[in-house]
Amino acid sequence: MAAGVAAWLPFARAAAIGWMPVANCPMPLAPTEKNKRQDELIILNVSGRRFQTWRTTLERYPDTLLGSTEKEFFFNEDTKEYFFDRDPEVFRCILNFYRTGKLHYPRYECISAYDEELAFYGILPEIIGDCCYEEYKDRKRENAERLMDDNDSENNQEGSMPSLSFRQTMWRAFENPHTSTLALVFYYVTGFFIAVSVITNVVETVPCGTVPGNKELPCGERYAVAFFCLDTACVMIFTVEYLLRLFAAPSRYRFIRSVMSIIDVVAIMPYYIGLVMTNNEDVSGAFVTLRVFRVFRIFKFSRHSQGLRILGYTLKSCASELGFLLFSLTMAIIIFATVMFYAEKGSSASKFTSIPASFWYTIVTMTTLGYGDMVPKTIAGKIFGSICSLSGVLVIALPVPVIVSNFSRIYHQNQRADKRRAQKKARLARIRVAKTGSSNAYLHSKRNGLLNEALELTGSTEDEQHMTKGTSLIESQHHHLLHCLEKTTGLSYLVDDPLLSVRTSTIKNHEFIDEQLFEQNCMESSMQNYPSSRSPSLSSHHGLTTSCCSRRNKKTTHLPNSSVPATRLRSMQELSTIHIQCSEQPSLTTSRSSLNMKSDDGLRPNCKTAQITTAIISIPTPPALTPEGESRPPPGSPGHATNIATTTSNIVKVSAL
Amino acid sequence: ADDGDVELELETVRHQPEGLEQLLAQTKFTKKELQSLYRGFKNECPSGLVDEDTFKLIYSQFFPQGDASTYAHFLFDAFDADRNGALCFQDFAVGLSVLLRGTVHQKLTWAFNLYDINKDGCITKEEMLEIMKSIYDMMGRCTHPTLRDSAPAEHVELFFQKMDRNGDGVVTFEEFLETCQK
Repeated sequence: MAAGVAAWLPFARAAAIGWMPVANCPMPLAPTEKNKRQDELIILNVSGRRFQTWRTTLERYPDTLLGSTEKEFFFNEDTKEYFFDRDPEVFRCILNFYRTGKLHYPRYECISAYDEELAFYGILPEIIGDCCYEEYKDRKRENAERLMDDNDSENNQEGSMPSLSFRQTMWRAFENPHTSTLALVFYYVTGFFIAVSVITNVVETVPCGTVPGNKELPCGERYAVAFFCLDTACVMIFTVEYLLRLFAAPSRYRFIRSVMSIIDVVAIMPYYIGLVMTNNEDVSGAFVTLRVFRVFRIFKFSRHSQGLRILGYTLKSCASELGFLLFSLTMAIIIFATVMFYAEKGSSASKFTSIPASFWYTIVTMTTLGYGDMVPKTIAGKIFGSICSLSGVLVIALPVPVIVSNFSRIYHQNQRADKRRAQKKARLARIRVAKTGSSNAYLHSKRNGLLNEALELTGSTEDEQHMTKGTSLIESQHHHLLHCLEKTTGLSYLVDDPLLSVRTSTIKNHEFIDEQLFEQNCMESSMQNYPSSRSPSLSSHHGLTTSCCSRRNKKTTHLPNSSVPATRLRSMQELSTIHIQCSEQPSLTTSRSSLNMKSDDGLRPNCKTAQITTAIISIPTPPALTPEGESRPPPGSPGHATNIATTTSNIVKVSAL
Repeated sequence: ADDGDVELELETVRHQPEGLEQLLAQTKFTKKELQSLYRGFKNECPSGLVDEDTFKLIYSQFFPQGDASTYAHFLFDAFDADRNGALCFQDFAVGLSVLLRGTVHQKLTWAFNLYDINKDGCITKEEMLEIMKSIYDMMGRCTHPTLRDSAPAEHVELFFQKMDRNGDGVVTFEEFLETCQK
């Protein structure tokens, strides 16, 4: 039921009083309104822009976000409003939907952005009103085609695909010759043989000198053997190609039905039929006809030419226009042929012997060819002839622009696809540079960090501060992530500083301290600038502390920066509870002890780094993989270590954002 | 062209209802109720007037299985007190007030008015049959037990016998009141 109509429901119910006098049975009891709330205004704050509406307006559609209790998740207690960090422009349309029952699509909006917003608010795009639905669907289709093109090209150009079977590699090679050199060779070889075959067919018929007996022979009969050999070679290549394609096709049935495969078959069949048939005079006529089919080999070029394919596709898509053209032409031909026949019936020695004979005249005239082999002689004939040629021009000119525009659209689409592919390469290259830039920064900071840590052993704090100032929160968190990954896998990123690599080996024994200081740096920087309540690594750090050490109550006291607001603590607690669910077993202490009870007091050099040590704990290296495991002094039992490795992988996932 | 112009007029004319105080006096609704009612009304009909087609459309949405247009027509006539072919908010509010807050006598008066299609003060059998058929139409075809074509007529027979005391073939207001209040 539409939104506005719901407002009339009380009216309809009241009007039901009209049925009561004639009701057979007593009316059922009316439903009582449970906890009837006074209608209240609610404020929706979308990125700073405040929208207000009645609560009942939103409740018209209870299966959407705003209409259900889902919006309570966004309720802000302090300001008593619902805050959504989304686009306010699109929200306008969404809210109008609740008010009027009609969802509109603003044309200036990007289609995927709009779709995302709709998905967020739980509204089906099918509800879009008729006024905007067509536009929406068109743009969506366009976008989908564009993405599909991109995806296709992406798939085609991906060098590193998962191992395909031999059959699949072959098929890919056939479909896209640029995948490997062998495919390219094959492509050119078949192209060459198609050209050879077509040229042979043509040259066969050229008269080539005389033979004693004064008879001009076409080359085909003079050099019959040579031509036969050429033909055989070509057909053999084509047959092999066809069989290979048939073998490699993912769906053989579909392949057999495809146009290209039919062309292939038609191209090679005549040869085999010719072989089978004896040189009988009766059937040689049919045999000659068959040879005509050999010209279809030229269509095999369409695999090699993009333009041909586009043309074919255009013709297919304009089938209805072409059909109309044909039909109207046929009508006109019949009409004019009849008229001309009867007009010229009177004149003597007229070539217009019958209506079908006049067809030829009409066609030639309508297409403005005008061969002149048939001309009207009577005045009436000439008048109708001129009308015929004029109307011919019109009839043919009508469907042509449609076909042309279709071709132009498809051609441009193809060009756009190629352009996008080229652009994409450049874009991806730039993105790659940016990514490597970030990880380069990581290596840089690692280098700096390690150097600083080396310095730290001597106890200078100035460099530490210097380092933290250099990296932003995001960067340091990213670095932490990379560091976690290194530790998880036991591998490490290549640092191209030979001096450093030497140092890393020596520092490995003190890796615990390195990590500690590194993490400390991160923690410092992250605590100093605490932009939002959603800094996952920080929260996860705290979460980790709580789970692995079950010192939840002590958590807040250890915070050096006590200005963390209450809400963040709560969110951290939330994260910590999630954390507990994912692993019961406590994470490793740096001492590789699995025992929770063994508190980290002994390992805490100072109060500040308490959290940090336990945080690091959660990023263990599987002891088997690294030599550090042994070199470290393990006060606890290493036997538990392997156990931990599996469970801590869960922990790593949480902390790894 | 004439009809088009008239329709256009109907759309562009913005009918303002009587003031809130006047309506408060004429109906038994509270201010808040009137406000809420008007908001719903105005949402559906921004021009302030409901013509019969819109009314039929709105009413039909409540009965998707059947055809509510005939009954909606009768209902429209019942609500349109001043017979001007369009329902304004005043008609709407006054009618609703009677139906929801009125006395039994008032409600029955309203019902009688509904049944009396030509508003001549008495209900004939044909009028009742019309109303009955329109009510059954609202049910639609897919009912259990299946709707028989003779059902409305039978229903009318039953009730008409009950109501028409003096057997003169019409039901007057008094007879109607008497039967219904029993």
